[in-house]
Amino acid sequence: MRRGVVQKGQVHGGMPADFVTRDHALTKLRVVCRGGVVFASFDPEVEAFEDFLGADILGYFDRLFNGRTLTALGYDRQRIPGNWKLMQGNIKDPYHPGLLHTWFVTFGLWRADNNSQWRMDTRHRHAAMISTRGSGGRADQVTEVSSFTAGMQLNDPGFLDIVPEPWWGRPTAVMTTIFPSVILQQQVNSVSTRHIQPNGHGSFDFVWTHFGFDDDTDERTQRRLRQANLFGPAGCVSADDDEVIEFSQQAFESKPLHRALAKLGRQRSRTPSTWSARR
Amino acid sequence: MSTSNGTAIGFDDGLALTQLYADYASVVDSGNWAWWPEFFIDDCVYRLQPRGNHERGFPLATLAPTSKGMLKDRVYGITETLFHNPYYQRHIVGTPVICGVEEGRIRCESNCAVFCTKLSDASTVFNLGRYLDAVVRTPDGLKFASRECIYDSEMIPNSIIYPVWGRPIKQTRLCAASSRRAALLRAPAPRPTTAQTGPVSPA
Repeated sequence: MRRGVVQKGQVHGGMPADFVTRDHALTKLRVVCRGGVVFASFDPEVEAFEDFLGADILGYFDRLFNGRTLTALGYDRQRIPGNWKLMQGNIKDPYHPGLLHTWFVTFGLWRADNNSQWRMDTRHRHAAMISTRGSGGRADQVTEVSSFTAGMQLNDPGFLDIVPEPWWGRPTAVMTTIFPSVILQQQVNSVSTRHIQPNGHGSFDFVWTHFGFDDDTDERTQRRLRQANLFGPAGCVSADDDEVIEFSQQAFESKPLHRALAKLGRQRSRTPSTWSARR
Repeated sequence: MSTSNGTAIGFDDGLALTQLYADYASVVDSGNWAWWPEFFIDDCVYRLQPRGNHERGFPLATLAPTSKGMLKDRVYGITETLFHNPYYQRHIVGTPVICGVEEGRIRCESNCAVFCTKLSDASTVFNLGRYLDAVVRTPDGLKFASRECIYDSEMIPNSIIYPVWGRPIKQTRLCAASSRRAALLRAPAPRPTTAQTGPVSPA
């Protein structure tokens, strides 16, 4: 077909004689690999990856991907009927874990009184939520969560068999959002990436890659796999978020002209606390 | 009754196995989650795993409690802490294919389809896959030593709240309107019909 089809001595169709296929190759992506993670951009002029992340966020990226060989433990996929920015916002919001995730509250994995900090790059695209477990008071003294159960005990402590790893440093959890599409998770011994793949303004696919490191003992791998029960499409913790994102999207779509503003801080406001989203 | 590898099992065992499958489906569709761990022995394996991970040898499961205690912890999580939207689920489970009997374990498998129905919405196929099971005899009847749910439907529609395919009827932490809906949805749980294989009592 490149030179057309000859019929009765005449050439039909085909490419012009001066058409150079080399000038019409597949789109080439700008690719960078750091610490075993591959990033690509359609923009050949995109800034250097290190500049894109900024020094602070790069530091947390390198904390997790410090050159060790990564070993994939497996994948999970889910389609969440909500705008993709809700998931970026979810992981940038340090208030909801203590309110929504009873598991976190009860076992001190994340509470409002944890020793925590929140860092962004200078252009406020990416963020790291950094938390240290168990640094606050007793859970029942610091929560107003209606579903909080002071006596909540596990029948089998295996879900929370937490053993600190030297590379953590002080934080026990660092959740890093890289705008627009990647979330890096270190929640105690469970490490994963979560990839946001929008398929419209009202829905996105969320792809989880759980991994470990090539020097993990079998015991440590099993620990990562057990703690993975808290995360993912059926996670004891993270499924809360996915359901609430669906509810939020339903609310936005029911009143497309409405806008709402969430005011957080010391000033008490009568403004209803809800999220705003623009499509 | 003979199996694919020529091992024979008795008619009573075959009937009990069929009843075990039917009871399990009945319980997970009824919303009476406290009975669910009672289908398993204490040192059990339960894995809900995407087919891709299973076939490629990746160990990650979407849900993988490694003991009956962890199953109970999961039940506590889904009935008391996990926030979600309630709806009906319906399991259609095939007759078990008996693959073999080794050291008192019956290895068997069956297809399973799970449908989901949200109020005001059409019913949808929620998840398709198959169970890979190891069943053992206990004084309380047949129980699962291992149940792996290997699912084809890897793109999960939002989330799987329950440790079986499908989502439960949430009974707490709902807003008033949702509570009323949940009350409407909450069906009386049928007691498993076979005392020999059924769960002993609510945990």
